Amino acid sequence: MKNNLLRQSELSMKAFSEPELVRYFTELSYRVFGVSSGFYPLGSCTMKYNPAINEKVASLAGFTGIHPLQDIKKTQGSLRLMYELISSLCALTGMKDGTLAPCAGAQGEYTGLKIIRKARPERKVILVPDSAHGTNPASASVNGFKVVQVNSDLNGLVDLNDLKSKLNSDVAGLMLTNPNTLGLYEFNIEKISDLVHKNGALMYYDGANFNALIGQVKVSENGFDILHLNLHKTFSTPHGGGGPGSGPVLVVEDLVKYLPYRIIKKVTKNNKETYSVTTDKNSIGRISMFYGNFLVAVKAYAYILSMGLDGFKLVSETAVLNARYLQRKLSEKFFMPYKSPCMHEFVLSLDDLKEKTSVTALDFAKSLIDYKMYAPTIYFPLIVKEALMIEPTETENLDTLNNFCDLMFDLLDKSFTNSKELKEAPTLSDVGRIDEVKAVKEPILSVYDEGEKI
Amino acid sequence: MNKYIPQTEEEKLLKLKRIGLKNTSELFDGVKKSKIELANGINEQEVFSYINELSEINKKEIIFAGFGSYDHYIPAVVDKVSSIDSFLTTYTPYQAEISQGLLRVFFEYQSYIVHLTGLDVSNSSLYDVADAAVEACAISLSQKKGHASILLSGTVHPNIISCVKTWAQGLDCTVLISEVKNGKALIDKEVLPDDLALVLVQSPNVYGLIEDYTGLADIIHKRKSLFGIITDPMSLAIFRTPGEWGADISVGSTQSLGIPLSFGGPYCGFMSVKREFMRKIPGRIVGKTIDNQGRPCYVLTLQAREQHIKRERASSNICSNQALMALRNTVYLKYHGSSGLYNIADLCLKKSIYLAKELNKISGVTVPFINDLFWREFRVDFISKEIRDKVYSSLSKANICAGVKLSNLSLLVSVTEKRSEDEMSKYIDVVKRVLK
Repeated sequence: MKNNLLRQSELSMKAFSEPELVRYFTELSYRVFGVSSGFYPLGSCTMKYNPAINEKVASLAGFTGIHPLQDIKKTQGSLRLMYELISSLCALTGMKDGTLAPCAGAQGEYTGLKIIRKARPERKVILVPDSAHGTNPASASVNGFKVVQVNSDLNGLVDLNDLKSKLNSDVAGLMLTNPNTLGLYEFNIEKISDLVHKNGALMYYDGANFNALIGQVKVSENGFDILHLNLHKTFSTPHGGGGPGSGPVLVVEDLVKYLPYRIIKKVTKNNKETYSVTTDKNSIGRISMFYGNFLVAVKAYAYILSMGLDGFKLVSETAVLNARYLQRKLSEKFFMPYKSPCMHEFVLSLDDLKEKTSVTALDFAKSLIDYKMYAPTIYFPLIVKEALMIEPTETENLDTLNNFCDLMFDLLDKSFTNSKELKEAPTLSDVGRIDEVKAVKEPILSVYDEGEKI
Repeated sequence: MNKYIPQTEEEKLLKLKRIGLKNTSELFDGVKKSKIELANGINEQEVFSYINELSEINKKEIIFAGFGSYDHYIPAVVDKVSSIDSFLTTYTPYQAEISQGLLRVFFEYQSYIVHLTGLDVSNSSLYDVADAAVEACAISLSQKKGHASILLSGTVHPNIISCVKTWAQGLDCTVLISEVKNGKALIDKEVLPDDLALVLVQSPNVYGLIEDYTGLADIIHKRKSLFGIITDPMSLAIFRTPGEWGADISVGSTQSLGIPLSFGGPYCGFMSVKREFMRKIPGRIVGKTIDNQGRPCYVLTLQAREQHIKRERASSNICSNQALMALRNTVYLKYHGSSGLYNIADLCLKKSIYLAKELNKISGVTVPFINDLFWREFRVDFISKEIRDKVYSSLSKANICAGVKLSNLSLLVSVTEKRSEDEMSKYIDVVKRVLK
């Protein structure tokens, strides 16, 4: 071998025995808080319980040991599962067909926007409400669109007049979450869709909040043309510390031809069903290496089979009931910037409290940690000051909800009597408040930055 | 009671009463409901048996296919650790005080990527190698004003090239593909465009060949462009690193390091860069700092780059990543260490050379780059498409996946450390029988 082509620096990575490894990682796992550890009211993230059966079926050797490019005759089980999953997702949303290729919600948005571009090639603007998830404007922008913000009205819903004023022949689409990030249902959704469609633009549904509507509403009937779902939110697949997720994209009939590589088809011949993969010549092209995060799809499909339509009705119903119960109880003492009854999540503001006591949303979040729960999403959506965004999900029991309220009220009292405690929290976790400024100013991003070896 | 929804009828009524409603349908007042056609739920045993049945319709084979998905052995401890519930069910570690264990894992993952690739800074994973390549292109575009060109080597995996082309639609950017000579990238410095933003090459390349980039970094940097290398981290136990070639960015798939085939995903993309691009790198990055009592700790850092802060001005739209896969990589590398990883990479090298040589001996079979340096994968040419397909189907009958069909005449064959002598002999015998 030519020496020039070989690694020049010494490879230096320590090996560990299995007992050492298991002890090491088990200890680290104690210092991680998952849905299995306790209440996780992280708004917008739908941190519901992840059923054990999902993991069991995703670890079957008939899935894990299959290569994506084996002869298609030998991978019929995987293809059929994907086909049936897409069909179920279409049944739940009213869409015509879809793809599992996007590895996450943001990649779903990216894919959806590529489809919008292909369908509306002359148009350069994407409208995004001011309450939208950060990924919406970012996805539009990385796709080369100009992002124009649509304001919310006093009730926290899309301001129809503002929307009208921003619609013109350069607008390719509107990205919308429904319920929106304030947890409020866009009751004008059909009017919004009409306006957008009359303008020749498309309606994109960000499915992050689909847990509120699953089994109740097919969003196609709201006028959406294209959407992504988050299998790691609504469909109970675990978040894994940040991924792998899965962000299937589904579209109405007119847009099916633009779907990315590959589309799975069912062919029935002599009473025998087989599954094949095809690509339309109008496709936007490839957006990920193979079929996306297949094992995540397996988990989601197990969940769909377990729940079914009756189960999903109960999911959305209970998710909304739990959130509204918390909203009602907490509104006795906390300021709700938007008074309307919420759907699956709601946002309260500590702005007033901060003025009176200097206690912030961050202080509240860090204090909750000391009581063995995860914190709500904070400082989001951006249109609410000192926001706490709370999403309990359907998988929490009444005791948990009540305990959370009691704790919130305790912390509120303490804000007046002993704000120091909130300011110093957390004190029971293995580290206290972290110096994030130092992390940015003097970045240490690997063991080599501190002169050590791995 | 639904097993995943802990609520009795009484509790439901109690909650409803508290919010002043009579029944749950009032929760959706004003919401126009739809008629939905979906079967009702089935019990857990039925779910298991149905999905198990689907898994059994798939046929397990002895895998000689690669092309971005490699059949390495995975120590059981990798599965054991990655199925620990708190790792599995936690979110992106926003609340660092109760996520120190996971943040430490990502810090180690970043350290491994930095060490293997010979660059300075790594993020804590991206979706897959194609996504990582697209993000590398986006970084290079952000360095340029106005129209820019990106040159990909013609020996980059075609799926990656497709993804980059998809990305470039609608952007002020042209994607160029270099010529290929003898299975390797041919970057002709005479024809490099003036507005070149990035040259992205791959080694081991799509044919498994190790490419020689002597002098290339200088040529590219003189054009004020970035130099990116797509690679496989396992190969870097043996071969010259992107850092040593003078690359600015390195991307690749970490699937080789403890991630099962899984019909193509979830896998995991990595990205590492020179320090000057630290604030350009997409996705989550973990940094070490101290807490309010001076104790060392870890936190997600440099977040000013990210979409939840910058929105439409963010450098990337990425939000989640492939965290659990990065955990698997970390366990795998800690288990093997340098010598373990080197030995596996070396077995891949030796076994693929062995099979290539044996196949090349068979009349009617040619391994075109047999005298070149390749690793874990090589191209095999047959005299006709019919013969190639016959070889493929004969092996298929013996439950061997022969490889990936390339052009009309070729197969791309991959041999990992997992392939035994028996399996290779069987492969050779079948090919001999067909070619007789």
